[in-house]
Amino acid sequence: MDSNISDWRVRFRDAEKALNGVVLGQTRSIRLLLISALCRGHVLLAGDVGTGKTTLLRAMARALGGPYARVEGTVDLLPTDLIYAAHIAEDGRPRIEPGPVLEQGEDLAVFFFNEINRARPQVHALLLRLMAERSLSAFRREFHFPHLQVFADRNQIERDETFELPAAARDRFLMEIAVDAPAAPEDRVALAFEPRFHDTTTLIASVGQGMLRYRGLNDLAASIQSGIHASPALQRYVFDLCEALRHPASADLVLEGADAARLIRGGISPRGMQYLVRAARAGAWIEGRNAVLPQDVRAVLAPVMAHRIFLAPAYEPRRDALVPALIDAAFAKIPVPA
Amino acid sequence: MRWLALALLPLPAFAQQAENPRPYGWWLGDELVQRIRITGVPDPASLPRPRAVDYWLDLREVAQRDIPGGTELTLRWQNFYSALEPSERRVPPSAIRLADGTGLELPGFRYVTSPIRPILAPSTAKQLQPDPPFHLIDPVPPQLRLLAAVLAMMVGLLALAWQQGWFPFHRRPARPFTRAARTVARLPEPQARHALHRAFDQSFGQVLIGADLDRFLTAAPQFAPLARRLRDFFEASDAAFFGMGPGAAQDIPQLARDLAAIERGRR
Repeated sequence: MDSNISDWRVRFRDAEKALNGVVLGQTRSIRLLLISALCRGHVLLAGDVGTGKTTLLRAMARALGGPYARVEGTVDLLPTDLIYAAHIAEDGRPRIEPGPVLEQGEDLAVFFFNEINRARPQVHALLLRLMAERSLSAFRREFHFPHLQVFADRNQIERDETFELPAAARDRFLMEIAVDAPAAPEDRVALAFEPRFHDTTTLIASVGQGMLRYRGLNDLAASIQSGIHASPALQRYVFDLCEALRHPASADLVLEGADAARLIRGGISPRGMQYLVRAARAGAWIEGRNAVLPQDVRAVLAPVMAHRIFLAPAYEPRRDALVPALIDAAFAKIPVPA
Repeated sequence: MRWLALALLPLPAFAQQAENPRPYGWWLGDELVQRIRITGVPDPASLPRPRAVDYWLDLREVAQRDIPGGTELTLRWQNFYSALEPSERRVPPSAIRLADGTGLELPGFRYVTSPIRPILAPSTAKQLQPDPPFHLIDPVPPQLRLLAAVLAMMVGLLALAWQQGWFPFHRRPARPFTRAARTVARLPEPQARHALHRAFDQSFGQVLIGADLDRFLTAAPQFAPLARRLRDFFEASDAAFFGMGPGAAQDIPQLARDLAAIERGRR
């Protein structure tokens, strides 16, 4: 298994290199996506229009290999549209065929939901079950998708004709990754001027199909979670961090322009804490260590936790500024090793 | 017949009835009350003013009240005539006007006032009344209050200085490594490590983990000569606290002393 594990590590390194060659300036997002694949967790990408969210997800799906289904969220999309495809056959009779989720069979590896906030709550409810239980009821039987990973993206620019995901649905996502335009000027110039970035389909084709062998990921994820050591000092650090995010005032966190005692309304569920530990272990494994260090926790805390923190209504409008500030304040204040 | 007609004219019940004070037996400072009943209502503006009528006579008060068929005026006079022998004084009449415009005269009167004591009797000191008793003011409570007020002001000033960070409460440069060097020397290994980590946190202004060491050295370049040993220290901490295999043994007190020396600018 050890040699096997080191082979896997080489594969992940290669996949990371290939993805960074395809999507410029998104090193952090790519690392987080790989961590999510190692945790078998679902990912929501949020960001501006045209920052490469879809390209990144398509490239990732190609690296994972395996069957892949894609749905575009619209206002009139119904839950049945995901499961069934109705059409008139050549003999003039109506036919019900398996829809996008089912047509690849139970081997489905990546289900890709574009513009998820355009779909209506009924669709979110179906997706919730698909994400939580990796199963569906259709054609009077149960379908199970053991290798399924749901990728969704959501653009933050438009608010009208969109449906905000309910808190329960957001809690099911392992991570919510904020994708921004590349920071480095040379990356942006390259994206604009180099012809190979103009055609995304050929660009994505340069990523090796199935580099990550999706069928082996479940076993790999289990062996990582049992094999990477988390010491008592680190467990205490994770607990203190989550406690500080839940009760900022009792941890003496100071926030500019907010009352720490009234900031938080809820969230930071035990499931969130569990996801945080899983992601930190996967991050440590990718870095080539066999124990989790504080920097692994810090690297994944914001994407794993930010969407699980519910602010008081008065502070919710300033969420984009307050939540990162709260997380930074917790990093600055919570001692490690305590 | 004409006198009969005159006699049958309806007459008021009383034109004026004066109840004058008795005409004798008044002394210096006595008040003489004169009551006069008149028919009709007097014009209040025409009533005599309370005033000093003469150097020896004051009109103290003029009061009026309604009675059936008219008004009763009460005039209070005060006699200030210091008589050397019994002498008669004359209070002058005063003219008033009724509300219907007819004039009327309030009658004067006479009274006799006499000296209180024989004029030629010698005055003796015994006749003087004793001085009224005087009270000494006790100065102790005001002095105590003054002291308390001064103390309260001093305490208030100190509190304000502390709150505003004035002298002697102004922020002195924090020297976390210097403090840590003192405590580390007395502590065994894991606690010593903890103490030095807390000193790093204070010096950096936030919690410092091994991964951020480069940022720390950029922010505080004076520690750059120790970079190698700091890196070893953080790696050994990772090993000790997070199970990253065995770390290199180190002389933590010596490292703390070197850090403190740099912090105080001795190097």
